[in-house]
Amino acid sequence: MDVKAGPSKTTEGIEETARPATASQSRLVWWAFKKHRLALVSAWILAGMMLVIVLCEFVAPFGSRHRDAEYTTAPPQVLKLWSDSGFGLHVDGYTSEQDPRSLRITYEANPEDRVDVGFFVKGEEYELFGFIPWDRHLIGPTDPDDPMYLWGTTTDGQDLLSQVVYATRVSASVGIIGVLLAFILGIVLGAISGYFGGWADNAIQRVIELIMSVPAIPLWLGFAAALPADMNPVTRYFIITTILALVAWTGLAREVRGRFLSLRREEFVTSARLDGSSHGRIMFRHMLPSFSSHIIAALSLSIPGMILAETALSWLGMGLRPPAVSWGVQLQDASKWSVLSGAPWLLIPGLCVVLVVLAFNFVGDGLRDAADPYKH
Amino acid sequence: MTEPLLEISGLRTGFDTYDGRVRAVDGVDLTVHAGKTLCVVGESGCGKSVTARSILRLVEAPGSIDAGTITWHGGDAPFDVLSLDVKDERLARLRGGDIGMIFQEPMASLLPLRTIGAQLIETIRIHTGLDKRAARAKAVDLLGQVGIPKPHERIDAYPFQLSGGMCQRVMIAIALCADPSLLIADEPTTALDVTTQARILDLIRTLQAEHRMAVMFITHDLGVVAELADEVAVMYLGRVVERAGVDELFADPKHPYTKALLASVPVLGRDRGRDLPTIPGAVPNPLHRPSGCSFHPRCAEAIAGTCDVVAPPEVDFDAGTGFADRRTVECVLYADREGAPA
Amino acid sequence: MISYLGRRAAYMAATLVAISLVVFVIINLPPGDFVTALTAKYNVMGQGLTEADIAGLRVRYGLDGNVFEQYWHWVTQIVQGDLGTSFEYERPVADVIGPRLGATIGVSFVTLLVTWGLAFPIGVYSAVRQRSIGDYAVTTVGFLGLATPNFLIALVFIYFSVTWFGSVPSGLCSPEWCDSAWNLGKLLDLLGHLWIPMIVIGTGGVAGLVRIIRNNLLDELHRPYVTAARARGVPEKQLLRRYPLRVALNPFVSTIGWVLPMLLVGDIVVGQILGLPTLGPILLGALRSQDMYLAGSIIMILSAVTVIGTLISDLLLGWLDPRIRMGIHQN
Ligand SMILES: Nc1ncnc2c1ncn2[C@@H]1O[C@H](COP(=O)(O)OP(=O)(O)OP(=O)(O)O)[C@@H](O)[C@H]1O
Ligand SMILES: [Mg+2]
Repeated sequence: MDVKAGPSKTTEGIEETARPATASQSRLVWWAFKKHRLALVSAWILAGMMLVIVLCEFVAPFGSRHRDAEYTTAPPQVLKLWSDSGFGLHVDGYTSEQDPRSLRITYEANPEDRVDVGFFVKGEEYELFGFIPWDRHLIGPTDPDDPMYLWGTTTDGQDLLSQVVYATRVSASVGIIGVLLAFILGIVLGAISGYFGGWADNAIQRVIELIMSVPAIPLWLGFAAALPADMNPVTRYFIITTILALVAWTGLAREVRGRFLSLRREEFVTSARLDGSSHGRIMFRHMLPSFSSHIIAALSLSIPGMILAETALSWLGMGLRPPAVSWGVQLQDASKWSVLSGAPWLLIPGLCVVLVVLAFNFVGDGLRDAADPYKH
Repeated sequence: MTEPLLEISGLRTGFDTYDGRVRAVDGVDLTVHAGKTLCVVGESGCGKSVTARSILRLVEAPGSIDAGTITWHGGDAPFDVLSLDVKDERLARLRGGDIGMIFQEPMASLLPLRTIGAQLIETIRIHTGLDKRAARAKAVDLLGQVGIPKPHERIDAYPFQLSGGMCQRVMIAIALCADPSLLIADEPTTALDVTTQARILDLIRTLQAEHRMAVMFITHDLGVVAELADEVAVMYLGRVVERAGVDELFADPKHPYTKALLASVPVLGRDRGRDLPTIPGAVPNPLHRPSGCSFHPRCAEAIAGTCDVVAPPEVDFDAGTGFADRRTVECVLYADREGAPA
Repeated sequence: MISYLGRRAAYMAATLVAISLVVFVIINLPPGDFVTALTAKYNVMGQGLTEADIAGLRVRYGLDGNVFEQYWHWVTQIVQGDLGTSFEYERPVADVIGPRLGATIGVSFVTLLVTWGLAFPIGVYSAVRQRSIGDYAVTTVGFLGLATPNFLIALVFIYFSVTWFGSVPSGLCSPEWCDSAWNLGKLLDLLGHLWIPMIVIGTGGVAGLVRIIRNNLLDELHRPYVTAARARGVPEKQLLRRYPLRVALNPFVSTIGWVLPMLLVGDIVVGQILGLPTLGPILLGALRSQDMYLAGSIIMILSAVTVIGTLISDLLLGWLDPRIRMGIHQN
């Protein structure tokens, strides 16, 4: 069959030589991927998310423990450029009013009270990457004590934007780390299964089938619930991630096995074997790279499941717990309908879940299509 | 000369891909004569299957037929297949009725979930209106005709219980169920082993004689061509570059591509112990069709400044005789022969 | 077929044993055992248990043997229908679960039917009309449905319900109907309540199923056997129904295995918010308070239901697909 080599629109020689038909597999996949517009946009979104994860202390206007008891469940503010007192980036402060009977406080924007906002402002001190002490924030009030809550505040009076930024680090990394753990298991067992075949394959396949037919979710609910309530958040994070990974590896293992099976009889594998390469070398240096795009696609498609699972688990109170923040933990705030009805912005972390899950799905789909040009 | 049964003229079929439109079939003219065998040969990817599919309007999205006419002379009045509405009864009658078609992968051409009997009887009933019992009797009879042992038992077998050769026989039985006047066979033996190939070819030949049908046989095996064909069409990159009677073609190939093809076939005795010539280069991607004659980059006789610039003319060696369009070549080498009787 | 049946049944048994092992581990994960926890609870309440009471309880729950004896004791009790005692409710687990099991299975079953009833035609439409506006709409909504956790759907639903109607519809029946005998009015009332959990629980399922049927059908639509059938004159409608749809039905049927647990879990997640009289909220409460016998039993029941669902789908598959029935491996 003809490999659709490169997007060369012209038949002139220049294009042809610049993009030879022998372009590497990854270049071909990348060219095909770029045509998948939604996937490309999603890839940018994920890149942005990665930046947020790495630089989250800098991106968040406030520190993770910042609490402002004066403004609990305050609504989002709008960034403005112009007010009566002149030009400049600012938001309106709040006026608050307490209902004498329900004791509920409602906030209104107060155009009189101008809170100046700037980029790269001085704020709470933190350590970038864990070791570079710094105090600049991407955006924030010029006076760190002023209220600037672009996405509103939580029921505790924490800045929702900052909290979402911190939660992104936790929730997204649970997905990514969990999938990597699952991937290690899946790739080792899948490779053994697909490469050697025979009884090893049979045994591993039976185990996978068994695990797959066990309804996973009630079981991990059970495991998660059995964890002691007073566990240290970091340990808890890793245990939850591991539990999720233990459930997710089977699908990846099957994918890897299928790929190894189909490659086992290819010439380059036979010749590598005749050359005396070791099994491990053949598997991981020769075979694996030849379907790495498929693997990356499968990984990308497994991450959403992890993220959704962590979110649901944490929201139920079985996963991560405060003081750890994840999207699921944040959404607990919104589960009381009396609170939610007055504070819809508390659902913003849910939007993040949807956005990131969609992005991973699109990137995965785009990659898979790009890696398999014949499917279309 | 017998009457034309099917006339394809100026057929263009293309596929939309990310990289642009692939002109898989780019102006093909072919004629199948009643009761005769036309062999279509050419390298992989030159558009043979797409041509065959276009005849029964089987080209699916992203592909579509852009131009041309396909005239069917087998009915009461000739009509253009391409101008029919998809719901037209005449098209329904052509498919599986007047024209039977068999494919390269017999196993994959049958639904694994239904017995071969169910699929055969279904077709019989669509085209003959027989009731269930009669259709079943006819099905058993057909299976016997195509050489399936114990047809009354095998009729209830599933495709995956039969070998590839047996499946191809079933496909042939299905194609024959309404006594077609044309059988289109798209590389029906490529996926089979050599002995089975020979048996299927024999079967097709016998059935052709019995049913007096024409056969359009697609292959890239010149041995098969020599054995089966009355006429031959050689295709290259979506075009027919040479047409001839089978003897003429083997005795006196005109087009450089045909010559190269023939030279690459081993001849018993002659070629012992020497390397066979091969055609240099590979079939170009139809997306990047070379300018001028699309064969010129691989052609030993190409004339620089001509072949890479102008499209070659179609030279008709029989022009002016009663057999127009029987022996044609698309090549500048014969341009001066234009209009001259051979 | 018989050997196929036998294999599946053996598989089911093995799965159930595996599940029971895991559940046993879960029950025993929290520190201490049921009786020590109970003793502690009574001590806090100031009504200590006597040594004899404690010893009796330990025997009753088989807590004194080694791990294997404990497991054996627990399994045999379950098989005899004794699911243990709920620590929170201080009642036999069976009594706590019993009344709610019906509602759970009912809600799940109705949701399952509706899920399939919606997903199948939508998926087929979307595949047959690939790249039409309808297909794009279906795919978009499907992507969103799969990306949105169902509790989030419930939250959004509640938000709009409160802002527009001022209240949250909850439960499965209105107060005036709850205790009355079954009649048309109660049925209508039930249906009036049922659609909310159905939307919340079923959206993800519909989205997933539509995707599955669409992708499979799209794969099948271009197989050689479809072209071959068209070439022999099978009319389009009949062609779709008798050829690609039959094949695309297989993965659809095998989804029973995962749709059912998904619905049950959906119930865990939203039963709470919507105040459904189902097992979900009980399981959640049990997990939160580490009432492990109760939680373990519910997990065991849910798992058993799932495994039975898988068995049913396997049987249906065997019936639909001769290759599976005859034990011939595909691909
Ligand atoms: N579905 C499709 N999408 C895009 N291009 C296609 C499609 N089907 C065929 N083509 C193009 O049409 C050209 C001709 O294909 P065709 O199948 O007719 O070749 P062929 O001569 O039958 O080859 P073979 O001997 O391998 O069967 C191919 O080069 C291919 O690029
Ligand atoms: Mg072909």
